Amino acid sequence: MKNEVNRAQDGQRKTFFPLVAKTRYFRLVLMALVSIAFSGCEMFDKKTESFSQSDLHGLWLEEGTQHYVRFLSEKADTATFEWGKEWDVAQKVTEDKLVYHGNGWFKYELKENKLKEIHMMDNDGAVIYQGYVVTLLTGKRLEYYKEGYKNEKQYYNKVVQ
Amino acid sequence: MKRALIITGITLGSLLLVLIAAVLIVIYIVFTPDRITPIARQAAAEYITCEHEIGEVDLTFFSTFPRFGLRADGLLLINPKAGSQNDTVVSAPRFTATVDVMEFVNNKRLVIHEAILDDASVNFFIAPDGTTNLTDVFVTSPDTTDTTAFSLPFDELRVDGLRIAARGITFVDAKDTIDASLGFTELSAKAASWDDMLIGLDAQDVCAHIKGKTYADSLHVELIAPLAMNLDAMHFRFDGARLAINDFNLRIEGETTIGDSIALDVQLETDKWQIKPLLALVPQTFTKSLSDLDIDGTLQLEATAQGYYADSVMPHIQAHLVLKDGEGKYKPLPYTLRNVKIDADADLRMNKGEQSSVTIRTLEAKTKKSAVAANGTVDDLLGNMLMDMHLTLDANLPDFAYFYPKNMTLNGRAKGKANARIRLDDLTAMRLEKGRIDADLNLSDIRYATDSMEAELPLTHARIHLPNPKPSKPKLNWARIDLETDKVDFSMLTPLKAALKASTIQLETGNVLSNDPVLCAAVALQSDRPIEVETDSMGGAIDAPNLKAYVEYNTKSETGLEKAQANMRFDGLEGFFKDIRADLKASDLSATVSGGKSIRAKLSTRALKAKMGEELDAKTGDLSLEASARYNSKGENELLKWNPRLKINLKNGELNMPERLPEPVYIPSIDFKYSNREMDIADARVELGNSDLNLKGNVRNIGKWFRHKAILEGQLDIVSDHCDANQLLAWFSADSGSEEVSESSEKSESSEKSEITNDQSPITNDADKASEPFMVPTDVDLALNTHMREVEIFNQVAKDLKGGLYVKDGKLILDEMGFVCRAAKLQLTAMYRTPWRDHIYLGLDYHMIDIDIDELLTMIPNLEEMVPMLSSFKGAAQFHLAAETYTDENYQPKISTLRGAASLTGKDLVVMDSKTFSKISKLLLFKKKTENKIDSINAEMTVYKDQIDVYPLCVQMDNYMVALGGRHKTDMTFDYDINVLSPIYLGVHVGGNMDNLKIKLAKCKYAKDFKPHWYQKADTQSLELRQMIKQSMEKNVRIQ
Repeated sequence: MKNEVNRAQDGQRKTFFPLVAKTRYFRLVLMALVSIAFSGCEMFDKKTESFSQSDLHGLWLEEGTQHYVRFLSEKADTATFEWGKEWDVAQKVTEDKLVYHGNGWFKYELKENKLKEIHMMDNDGAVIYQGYVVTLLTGKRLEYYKEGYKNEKQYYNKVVQ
Repeated sequence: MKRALIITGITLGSLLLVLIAAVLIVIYIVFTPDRITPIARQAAAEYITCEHEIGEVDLTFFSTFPRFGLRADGLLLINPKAGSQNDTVVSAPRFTATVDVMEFVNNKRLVIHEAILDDASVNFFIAPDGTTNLTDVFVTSPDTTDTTAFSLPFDELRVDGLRIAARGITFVDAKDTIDASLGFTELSAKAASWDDMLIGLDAQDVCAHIKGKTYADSLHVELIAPLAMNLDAMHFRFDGARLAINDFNLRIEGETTIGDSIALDVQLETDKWQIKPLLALVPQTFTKSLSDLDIDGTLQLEATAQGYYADSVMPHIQAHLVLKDGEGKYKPLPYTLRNVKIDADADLRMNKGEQSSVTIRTLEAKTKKSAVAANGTVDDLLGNMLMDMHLTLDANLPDFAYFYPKNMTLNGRAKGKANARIRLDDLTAMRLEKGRIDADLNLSDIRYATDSMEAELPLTHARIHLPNPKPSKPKLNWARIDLETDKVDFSMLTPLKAALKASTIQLETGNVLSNDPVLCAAVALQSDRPIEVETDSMGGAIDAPNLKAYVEYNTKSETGLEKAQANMRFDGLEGFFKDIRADLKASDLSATVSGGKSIRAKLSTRALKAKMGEELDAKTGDLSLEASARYNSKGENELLKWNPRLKINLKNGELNMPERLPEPVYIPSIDFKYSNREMDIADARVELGNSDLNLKGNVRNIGKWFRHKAILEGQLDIVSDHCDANQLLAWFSADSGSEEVSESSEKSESSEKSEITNDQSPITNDADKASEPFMVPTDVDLALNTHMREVEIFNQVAKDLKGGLYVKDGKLILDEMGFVCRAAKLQLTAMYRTPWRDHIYLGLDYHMIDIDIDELLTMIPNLEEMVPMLSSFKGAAQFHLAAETYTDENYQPKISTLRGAASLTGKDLVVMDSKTFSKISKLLLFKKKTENKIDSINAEMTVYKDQIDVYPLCVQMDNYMVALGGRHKTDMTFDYDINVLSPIYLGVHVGGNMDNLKIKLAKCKYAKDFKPHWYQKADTQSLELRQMIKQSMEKNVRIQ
């Protein structure tokens, strides 16, 4: 059958789906569905793993870099936070060049799989929060990613001293 | 008549013949020798007690005509005495006498008509006990108790003629040790009375010795002496006696009394005598003091002697001496005087405690090429002569080389007058300061030289005073010399040279003839012409000087110049001292130099130029300067060697220090004090390159800082109208980092030129130095309070900059520096630290209010990397930033150390129509408008390494509420989520980079932050973090 444009006497164009072209309700339903789809619903969140903070203690080297992280058992100014420090030898930053509790130092806390790091500044101007999700922590290996960036994992190997 | 006369004559002749016949009869018949001799012998025996002999005694008539005389042949008196020179007292072959016996018998009057003793020999002797060999020759009174004095047996005396010719007369006084002898002697005498006598004496070979001293030796003495004598009193008076001793004639008048001492009141007058042979005759007693004199000439003397002569007593002698055609030599002095004329009065008092003197009416003499005329007095003639002379000199100065020190040469001519009062010992020993010498001389062609100095004065008028009547200093008491000279050339061995023209000079000196190696002198000099002075380390030309100077110079010291003081006013000076050069206009200067190692100076000048080696070059307008410096050769540089102390007030100065600063420093005015310990700036206006600065404050420990032994400390207030900070930072960069300094000091403190050979090797040339980072000195603790109205920093111009700039412990801190620029009102606290050359810290606490975003991005280009969305906005905002990073030596950030937090608050921001935003707006079906305004925006973000986390923020626009947040990286990749929260929930994820944008639908992850009512529990962590960031930002804001 020939698909003819059936024109009304006023010349208004008629489409094949007149119901869709005329009603705005469809738009509303569509937007509702989209909203539900894009809402930050956590009903499908998975169950989290749990790691021990003491397993972090020691010196770690990020794989493929000269970035070192040392998690210390030295208590910071809160009950659970402890001190750590990091440096990148590739940028000519060595551990002895770090100012005590300054730039390169951080307070850290590992609860379940959430690793919180509060990074310090030499001039005490501000503190910088970094949150990570630990996916693996053994005596030799550490893996985590930054919150919200699951695809950007960082891998560390324990340095035997 | 004729007949009568004939008769008378015949009668008288007859009578005479009768008489003669009668006498002949008496003589030859009655009084024959045979009859007379025994009578005479008998008579002699009655009166002479000693052994004697009388030969034939005869009566004489014809030989003694017209009187009868007595002649005795072979007269001999012998009276031996112990110690006598001869037992024979008198011996005479013949003695003839005509004596008026009747006068003697009747009237006790001895009348000797004639007495002749020929060829006699007489020996008088006085024994030590006082007795003589004449004492007991004649009979004396047997009464030994008779103590009356000897008296002559006659009262009056008359001698018509007495002649004694002796072949030898000796006189020995053993008691007074007198020994005299006369050779052939003829003595004649006439005496009308004791008061009217005439003695004549002609004695050959006269010798006299008294107490072993020779008073006469083979003299020929002739004497014609009218004489009056009183033998009782042994008083003799001479009236016009003429005495000739050898060829020396003199006339004597006066009287003498001989007793235990000889009393004299004698005047004598000589003929013209030659001095040399005369001195040979004068007893040594009188010429002993003249032993050093060798003189000759024609002498005429008038003298008086009054007083007593005895063992220890000498009479007072006054003499008037005239010497002509004299020549003389005084042994201690190497001078022979010629054409000597003297007219002098001598007053000789030779007793103990008395002084003799000479008054010189005229003294003229020539020696070598010099002539002198003098008058004056010489006191203490026979001791240490004190001469008070007035001289007229025409002296060839080399002639007096004897008086100069051995190492001194003086050439030239001196003509004029001089007064000298000095002892001869002091003169010959050159102790001129003991006397007094005043001279007014015209000097010509003067050339003075010693081992250490020389001076030339072509034509000079000099007034000389020794000693200095009014010394300006105690050491300058030796001499004062006033000179008016057309020219002086002066040089010393150090070396020092000086040249003066047309000058008036007053010179005071210490004793230049003593053995003291330190010479002292003071000079006052006025000249309309320049003087030139030069040593090996110092020199200058001074125009129209008015100078007063004092110098102590040690001829045996290496430094030579021990002390120099000068006060000077001049129209101009060009000079140098070691490697300091100076050029001054009309000035007042006072300076003291000691030992060549310390200087004190005060200067007031209209203009100054000075240069110190290659380190400093300065010039000024009006300048008032007080300076002192003490040289220490161990100093590492000129400032540390000289340790200067300065007090300076100057206008219109310019300073060049090429080793420290690449451009001159202009100083419109300055009032400051400087020492290596502290510099205090009361007021200083300085122009450094493109910057002007007004400084007040002080800086301490400068010297120790140069020696790297202390920290340079100070507080300065700086006010500036315009400052080029970029230029100043480049000028004042240090050579090494703070940690590098401590490491290198542990390795090798002595080596300034490092042994490091890697990338951290120190820069050794200016080109490399320019690319090096600015290293904060660790030995500096300075606080600069600034108020700069305009500052060029990086690519911005800041206005009204106030705050503090501190340099301490290797940190450069800008403390709450606030200023206003085009972009905003700013407050900045910043720290710049250089622990290592390749690990440089930079930290900011930065606040901006009333921001113009366009200007903000221009000021901080990196900000766009951190907040790329800012480029999409324009309008006003507030921005707070705390950030820090370490950088390498090229100031490239070490991203791994980048830390920061920022807060941006905006109101009424307009979103620009960008490509990115238009894609989003189409997708979300925004209405298209020409200008979209966001009521407000609050963005907080953190920077961690290469990631900038933008905390979710909410934007209201149109009917839509949009939340956005995400992450931006320094490689310009980003991940942002844009959530539409109103009217629907819709999420978009924007990722990638600007060239490869990836947009996809995503969940609304920020709903729980801004639409919490959908959830039972609001997620406040994000909000809390945002508030924490903002509060930490705003707490340090001081600007309004």
